[in-house]
Amino acid sequence: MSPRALKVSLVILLAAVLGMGLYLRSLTHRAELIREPAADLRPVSAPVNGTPERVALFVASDASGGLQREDVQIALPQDHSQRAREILHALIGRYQTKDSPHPLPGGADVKDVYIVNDKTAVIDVNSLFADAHRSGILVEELTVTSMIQTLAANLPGITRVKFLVEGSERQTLAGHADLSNFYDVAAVAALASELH
Amino acid sequence: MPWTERAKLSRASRVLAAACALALILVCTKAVRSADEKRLTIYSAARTTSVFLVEYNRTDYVDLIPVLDGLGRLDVKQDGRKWKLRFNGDESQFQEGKAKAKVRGHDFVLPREFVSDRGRALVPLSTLASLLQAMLREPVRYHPAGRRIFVGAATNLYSTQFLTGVSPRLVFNFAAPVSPTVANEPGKMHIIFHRDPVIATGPDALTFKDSAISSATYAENNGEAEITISASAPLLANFSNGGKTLTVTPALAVGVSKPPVPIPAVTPAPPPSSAAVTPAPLAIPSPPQRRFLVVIDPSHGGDERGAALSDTLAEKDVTLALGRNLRNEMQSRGIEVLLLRDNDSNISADQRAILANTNRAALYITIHAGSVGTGVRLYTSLIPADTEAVRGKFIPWEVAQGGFLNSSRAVASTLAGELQSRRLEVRVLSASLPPLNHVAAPAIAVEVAPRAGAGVNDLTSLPYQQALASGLAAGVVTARSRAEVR
Repeated sequence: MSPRALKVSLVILLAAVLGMGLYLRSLTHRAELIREPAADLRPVSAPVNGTPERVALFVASDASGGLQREDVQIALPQDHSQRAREILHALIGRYQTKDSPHPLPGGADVKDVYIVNDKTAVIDVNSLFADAHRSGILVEELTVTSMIQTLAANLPGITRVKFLVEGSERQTLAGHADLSNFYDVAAVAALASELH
Repeated sequence: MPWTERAKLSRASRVLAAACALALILVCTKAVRSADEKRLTIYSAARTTSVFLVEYNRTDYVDLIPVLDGLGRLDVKQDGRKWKLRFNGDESQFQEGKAKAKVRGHDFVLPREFVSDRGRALVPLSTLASLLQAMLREPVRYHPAGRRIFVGAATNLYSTQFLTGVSPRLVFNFAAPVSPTVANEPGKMHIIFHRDPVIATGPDALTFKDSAISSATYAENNGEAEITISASAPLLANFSNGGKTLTVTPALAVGVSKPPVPIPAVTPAPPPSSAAVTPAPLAIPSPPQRRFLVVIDPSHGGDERGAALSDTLAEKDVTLALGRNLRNEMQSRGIEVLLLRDNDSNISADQRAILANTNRAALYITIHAGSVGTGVRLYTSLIPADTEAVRGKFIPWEVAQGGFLNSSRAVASTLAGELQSRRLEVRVLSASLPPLNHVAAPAIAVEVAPRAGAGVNDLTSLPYQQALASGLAAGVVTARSRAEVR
């Protein structure tokens, strides 16, 4: 091979190495881009299978010190306990909006609702719901009454409601509303009419 | 002998042997029986352990395993009749039926034989303290009368102080925080220490020359310590100093005061008819007193601050100020008042109801304050309608208010009318609020909020407080008059 041909081959090889290097760099960059997740798409709650239904929410208002009926459409499953939970989720969600008439702390939630013998509802709320709730007779009563009244209006047959906090009994919600006993739905309905 | 007869004989002998074995088991089982409710408590720096005693051949025995388990690291090996206990690395050996044992390589003689019974290593109670001392290498003190064992420095000594004056106080100062059970009965308060290694430093029995509190007695019994206070009035116990100080005061000394001006010469106002015939949930032997006593209960107090009305204003301070104003207004109208809280102390909801019931309140008013809404809200108990008829010789604690609900609503309505006549915004509602359900008398809750257009500081303004107190006091006078007419 002549020295000229050798030089040309060397230049071609160097160019090929350089080109391959650049191509490798671009591939690495593209792989990094692919590895970065656009968003965390993992499911955080079980999907609700159900048809949209009209639900009556009894929404508390601090300004008027009463309850206001609001009708909303939400998907509801067939199971009683799950229906109750979804209805209360809708109510709590209403209280956590920016224009909430009765603000509840962010993160406050209903963990579960147990329906016993189709007559007794046991509402289990998370600790934040009670720990960060505002204190006062009226403000606590509005929360409790609106939840019971909403539940009773959408699940006829419920006669008693009990509240638990993280699965345990608690004396009061935030120093006033009694959580140690069962609430009689008929008595709460009478109170709700006073609050309208 | 024919084969069939031999088989029959063999079967019969097997049945007989089984019956003998069963009888032997029953006899042995009966020999070791539980000494009914006899208990021993062992106090150590790490924990307090209570164990039940076992009676064997008329001697009290105690199971060594749970006792040692609460005091350190324990490995147990049972090999037939022999027990090897490795406690904190040191080995001790016991043998069933033998009084001689080996503790950490040394001979140790038990007063009675060691008993192995259904996985229990039983030693005589009388030797437990010296046995523990040998095993633990720590001083161990035994109080045989109270069946209490103190390991090392695990004691909580206390001293007693009696402060005389307008409101006598019995103060117990403990070396460490205590968590006793406090129980009231007519004329006595029992303070029972189940898990605290409490020991009195002074004499066990103290007598006081006081008309309200007459004596305090310390006693140990069945693994517990107890202080019994005798008094002529219901007592109230308050903890302070992080649980190291317990102050006992007569409930009437908390804040009851008769009006400065006697009630004019009219027939003494009877309590509402229901209160006169129905006993309170706590049995009080004294006959009902025909008087009109209003119990004012400023809610919250102490560590329990209630609602945070602002960064600096707590509900407990507003309720106390309004409670004092209301007391003064009522006294100026000739009404006898018991103010449940006249300082920054905390009283439990149950204690508040007990004090109202034992003092046979004609009316119970609990005071609250809130920042939501405006004006005054009067609440009666949110109790199911079917409990309203509960009356009789015994009233269940949970629904004590049931028989008084109509009276409570009547009082609330009267007070609302009086406040409205003074141009104060009022609402009457029901609420499930402790301790309303437990009060065996007409009972209402008052929640005050700022007036319309005013800020939360309105709650502390003197004119507003005066207007509220004056309106409520005038309403109570009207309610009393209506009750007299009935």
